Amino acid sequence: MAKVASIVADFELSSVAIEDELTSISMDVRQQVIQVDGLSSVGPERVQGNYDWSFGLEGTWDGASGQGDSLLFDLVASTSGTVGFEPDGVTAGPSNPNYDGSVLLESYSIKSAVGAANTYSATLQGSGALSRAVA
Amino acid sequence: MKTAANVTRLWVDEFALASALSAHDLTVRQVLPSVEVLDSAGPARVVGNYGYSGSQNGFFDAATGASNFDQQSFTDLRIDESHYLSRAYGTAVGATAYLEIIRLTERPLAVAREEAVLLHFSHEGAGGLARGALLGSGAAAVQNYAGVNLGATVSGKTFAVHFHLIAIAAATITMKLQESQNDGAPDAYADIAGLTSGALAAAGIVRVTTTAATEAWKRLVVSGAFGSATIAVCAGLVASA
Repeated sequence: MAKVASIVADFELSSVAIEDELTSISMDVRQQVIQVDGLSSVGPERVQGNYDWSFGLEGTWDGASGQGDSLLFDLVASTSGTVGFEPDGVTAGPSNPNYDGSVLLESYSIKSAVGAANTYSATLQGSGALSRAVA
Repeated sequence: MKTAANVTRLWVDEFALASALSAHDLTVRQVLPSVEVLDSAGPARVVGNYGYSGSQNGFFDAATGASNFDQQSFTDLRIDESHYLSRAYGTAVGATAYLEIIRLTERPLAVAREEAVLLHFSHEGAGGLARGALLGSGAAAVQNYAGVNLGATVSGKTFAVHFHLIAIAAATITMKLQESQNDGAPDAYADIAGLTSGALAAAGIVRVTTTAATEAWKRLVVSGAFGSATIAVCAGLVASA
């Protein structure tokens, strides 16, 4: 498995590729790690519960039909959307993991300032299992 | 289409604010209560209500007349009532636009050595947020404006229109929306019930909505007898479950 530059990464929101407008993608997985120290524990003792995950996106705002802005606004007051993340831009394979799941929009922010492009950021919270496909 | 910030335009009620602002932002936040249970695999959430807010950064301007940003933000926008903000990401008909109902929350005026005097204001949403398009802006003329495909809407969903009349001289102007299935051919444009400003003789804002089904293409129609008028009209579908 080779290391890769971010230029190859692919990201789909509701089955539409939007990596052409994204400047940053972050996928965060958080585990419930519950401390169960007893009186005689030496160091921490923990068990593992459920997990949570989310995506953070940053990009250059694109208002065209079917692009990021309309896809994100469609998730306002909506049930869920889907995400597909290929960190190396390659279809799922043993050395090419793809991450997929359903998401809900937590926040969406558009910023405009003199001398810059219109930009946006969004946080998508996972809704259900996050899958890591390798085939 | 990606765009530079300098093509964006903001109107609040009867004020065009692009000449006073240097930056602005809009943030939407959704409530996502967790409904995780013992056998959940990964997170489980449901969608609650949403809110939105914005901040506008600009420059103090106390000049008499339409550019009096100080008076607008202190006297006119600070009163106890909702205001209507339209935020367009382009100047041409069809540019993406957001329609907001707002309440001002703060209005800091900042003075610092070797800098221009700054005047900002921020707001919270106070009603449904709509996304659509700019249907017409600038100097108005009696005409049918270009049609825009905003998508058909179904009965029960709220479609909103902001008619901003920035200035008018010599009599009245009437603005209304028409609809067509296919930009006028073969389905001719026809009026949409309720989506009209009525005859206006003074600067102001008219927000109208309909929950009836509408056809995909919409256009602005301006009529009346007036010497000059400056307008901004945006329309869009309100986000709702």
